[in-house]
Amino acid sequence: MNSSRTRIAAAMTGLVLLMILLFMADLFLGSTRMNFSDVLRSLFGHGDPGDEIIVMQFRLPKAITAVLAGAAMSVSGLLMQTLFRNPLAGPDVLGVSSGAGLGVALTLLTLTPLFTLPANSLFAGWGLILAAWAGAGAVMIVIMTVSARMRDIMTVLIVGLLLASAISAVVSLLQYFSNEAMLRTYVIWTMGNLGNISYPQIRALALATAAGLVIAFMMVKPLNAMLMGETFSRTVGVRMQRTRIVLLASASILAGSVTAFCGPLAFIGIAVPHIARLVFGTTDHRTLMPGVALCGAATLLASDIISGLPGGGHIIPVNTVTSLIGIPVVLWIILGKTGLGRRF
Amino acid sequence: MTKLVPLVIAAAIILLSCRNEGKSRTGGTGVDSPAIPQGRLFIERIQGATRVEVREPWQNSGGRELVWYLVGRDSTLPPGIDEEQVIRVPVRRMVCMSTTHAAMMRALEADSLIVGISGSSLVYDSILLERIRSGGIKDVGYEGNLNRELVISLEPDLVMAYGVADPSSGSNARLAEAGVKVFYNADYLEQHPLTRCAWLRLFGLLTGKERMADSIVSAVSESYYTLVSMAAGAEGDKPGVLLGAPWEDVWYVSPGNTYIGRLIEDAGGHYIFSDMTGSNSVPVSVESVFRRASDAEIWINPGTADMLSDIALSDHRMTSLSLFRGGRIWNNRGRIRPEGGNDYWESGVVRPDLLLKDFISIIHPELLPDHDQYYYIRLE
Amino acid sequence: MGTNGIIAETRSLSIGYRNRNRISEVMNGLSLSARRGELVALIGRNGTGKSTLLRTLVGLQPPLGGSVALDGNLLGEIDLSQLPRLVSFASTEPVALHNIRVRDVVSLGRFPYTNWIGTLTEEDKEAVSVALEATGLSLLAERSIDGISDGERQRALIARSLAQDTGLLVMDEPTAFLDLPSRYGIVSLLRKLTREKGKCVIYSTHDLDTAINEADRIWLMTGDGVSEGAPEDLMLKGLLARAFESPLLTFSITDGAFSFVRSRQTGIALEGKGKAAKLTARALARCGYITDPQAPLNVRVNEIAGAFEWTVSGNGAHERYTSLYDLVTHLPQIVK
Repeated sequence: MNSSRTRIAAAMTGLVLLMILLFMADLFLGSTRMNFSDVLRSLFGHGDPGDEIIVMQFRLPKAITAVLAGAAMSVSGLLMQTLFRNPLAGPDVLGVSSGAGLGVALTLLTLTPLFTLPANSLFAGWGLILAAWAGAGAVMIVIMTVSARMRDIMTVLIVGLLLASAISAVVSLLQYFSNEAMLRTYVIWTMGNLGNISYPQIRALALATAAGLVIAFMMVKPLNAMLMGETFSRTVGVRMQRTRIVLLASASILAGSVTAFCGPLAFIGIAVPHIARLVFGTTDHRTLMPGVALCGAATLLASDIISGLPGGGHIIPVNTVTSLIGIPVVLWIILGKTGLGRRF
Repeated sequence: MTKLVPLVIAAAIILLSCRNEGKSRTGGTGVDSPAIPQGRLFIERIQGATRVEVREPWQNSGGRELVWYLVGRDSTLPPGIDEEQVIRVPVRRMVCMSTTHAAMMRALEADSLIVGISGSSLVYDSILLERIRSGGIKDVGYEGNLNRELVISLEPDLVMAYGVADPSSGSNARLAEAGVKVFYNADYLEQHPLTRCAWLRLFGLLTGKERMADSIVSAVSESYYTLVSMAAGAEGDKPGVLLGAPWEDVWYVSPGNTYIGRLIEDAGGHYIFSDMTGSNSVPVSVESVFRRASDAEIWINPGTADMLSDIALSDHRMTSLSLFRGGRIWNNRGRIRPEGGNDYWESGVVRPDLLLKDFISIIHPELLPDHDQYYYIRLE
Repeated sequence: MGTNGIIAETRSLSIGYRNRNRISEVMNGLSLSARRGELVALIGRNGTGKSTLLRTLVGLQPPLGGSVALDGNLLGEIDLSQLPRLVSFASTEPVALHNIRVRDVVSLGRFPYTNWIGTLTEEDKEAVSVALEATGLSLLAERSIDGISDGERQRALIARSLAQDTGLLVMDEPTAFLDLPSRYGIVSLLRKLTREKGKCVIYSTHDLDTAINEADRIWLMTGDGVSEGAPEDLMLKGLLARAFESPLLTFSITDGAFSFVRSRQTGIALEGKGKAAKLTARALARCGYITDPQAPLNVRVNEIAGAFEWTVSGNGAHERYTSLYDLVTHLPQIVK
């Protein structure tokens, strides 16, 4: 008991330090070169005005978004993995990110040609975010309705996956009928983006993330019971229907909000919970939930740093980096007998 | 305003052709102006036909050349020429896959020959719109979504298309298989505004209006180079110009050697990314563009923005640019239709001298104080 | 509080499944009971509905008719937060449990008592320790659950049910997939829980031997319903025999066990005493020989200085063997 307690404490401390380190690194290592001292001065308001704008308007919001989005997506994935008792589950099984994509596709690919002038305001600011949120919300309602009607959780999983596929087909259709310029804007959206989120938007994202994380954390006890199976959970007092709905709601709020602001972020939800299980050596959600949130934040911060590495202004899209990190982890799960699939 | 374009063109022809009478048809304009830079279009008169060659008809074609022979309707085919490469002229029915092609036909007043167009909702010209509305011109659909049956049923003598990749695949190939003549226009790849305009000569040959085409091209070219000389005499440093707009934290930066880069340089400006080479836009972080934008005084073509608030909503960080508050942000939305048509892509291609005038008045307003911008508007 | 110490009771219970409008009844008219301190074994052939009965008993499935009462209260009227304190359930649901300590598994049995985050009070920790000790897992408590044997893992699940501190423990096939010593170990543990802790344990099993020998009460499920009683009651009524006998299997009341039906019974006279004689009779029976004092062939077993010796006489033969194996393999030649 004591040995794993110290391991957990050490891992938590290490992660917090790592996150702070990565946060600072993300501020220092943007896609253009800046001196350490210039960055520091800008943070405290004594910097060159041009530098200050870069740090305060570009890099700081991006770093904060990375922390929020990383934590939210990872915890959402953890909830899905426990709920469906599947190590390969992630927020995308809900179809929530597909729903957001549908909202965005409808706005960019159809509404714009139909309403050219007003579309400029739909394009920008909150319009797109609201469209994505609405799409994610609609899917969330469908999933929760299905969950309330169906006893078997696997049915809910299959419905979520089928819904995601159906939406994908509709979006392909929309793409087929749209012109080059619109197509490109949609494709760029799907690559994920941590920048260009204003402080009011960050506040909204923070609120949604906080709400989702709080709800999720209140569920740690039933989540731990669910590790032992649904039958055990029910006989020990867990109200399965209610619990399922709350978990789905929390996961949808987390994943839906992130996707609305940042586009679909790939693999973070699936891979990070496994990384956390490896680091902490436990499946207890009381440790795992904050642990996963920390790992997620650190991972996305690291991804953001990597995406700016090429230099000269060139960037690697965020989703490419998270896929490069996440895919080996997923492979490890599937292939390794001693891999994470067993540890799950 | 809508009938202004052909009137302006006609006026220009009349005024300027008085000066150009007697000059040769092909090649350079007058002894005073430099020649139009050679592009991808090569025209050669041979016995009984006109040989038209398009080199590098699409990006990364690797030295590919496409050759057609324009032969008079009543003439016999010269020996050694394959019927497949022959286009009988003058063309009586044409389908245009780009509104630019239609605009060139309009400039030659040959637009009555157009029976089909791709993307009819994006047409600006009012005469064309009228014929579209009345059903005289049919919409044949977009790139991947071409309505082949409709094209074939229109029985065109020629489909003026543009190649994006090898034509042996794709819907254009299906048309060729069905016996429809397809021409691969490469005007959109030309990097000099005058070279792009010079493709008018092709349309002249196809419609039997070579003289008119040559006159227009000569006139435009001379006007253009006059403006270039004027801009070269501007005093002071060349103002920095920023192009494009960000989207989702990515800025697709145009390379320096595009035709709009040319226009900026010819107008006495300096494109701040002129060091960027290549044939495609490069995705760059907004942060790095932001940095370089501090060297710019003028912002041209910020995406689809009509107002400053559009830019602000799209990326609020742009409002911190001194460029943003400088009030010299211009977009090519001066002549647009609500449905999406933009004359910049139509008559703008035929009149690069007018474009250059706009650019000069934007970049060096002191040189043309009375010029009201034609294609461009300042963003408020 | 139940009368006469009855902790679980069913009245004309009808069990089955309800799917939208379709009802498939598995069994009805079940009136059974179980008392505190009793070990009840639910036996029956595969597919008769043992799992359904157990799951209905603990409230996992709604009854199609009739009623279930736990500790005197109707199941439908018991508050859902109180039910886990009355009855615990351990099923054979295959759950991938990894990277979790035995102690933590057992601690989850305290779920109905802990706070929102699952913190264990001293009382909770005490209950866990008691459960671990009762199941003999104290030394394995800190080990990971995937690092122990199947039998130990099963005991951990029982410890979990025990930690839940309920008067009634219901278990679905707790001895499944275990080897013989483990099976006996589990049943003896359940026996101990009823005797020493006064729990009532209702468990289903395929393991007839241990059930017949250790259970206080048997619920015998056949296609017609469930018969209830002490194992010997059911044997006396011939119910066990009827439930399980087949052309291959026969039940012996004297042995209290099932054995294979033997064909081809040739008579052989057997002389000898004690366990040697008994075992010789077994071996002979296996090979199709029945003890018959009148038979012409005679087998005598002698013990000489700690070793055994078999002598066969009759039919003109007189042979001596030093092992039962040799005896029975050579007998066919002699019998001819």
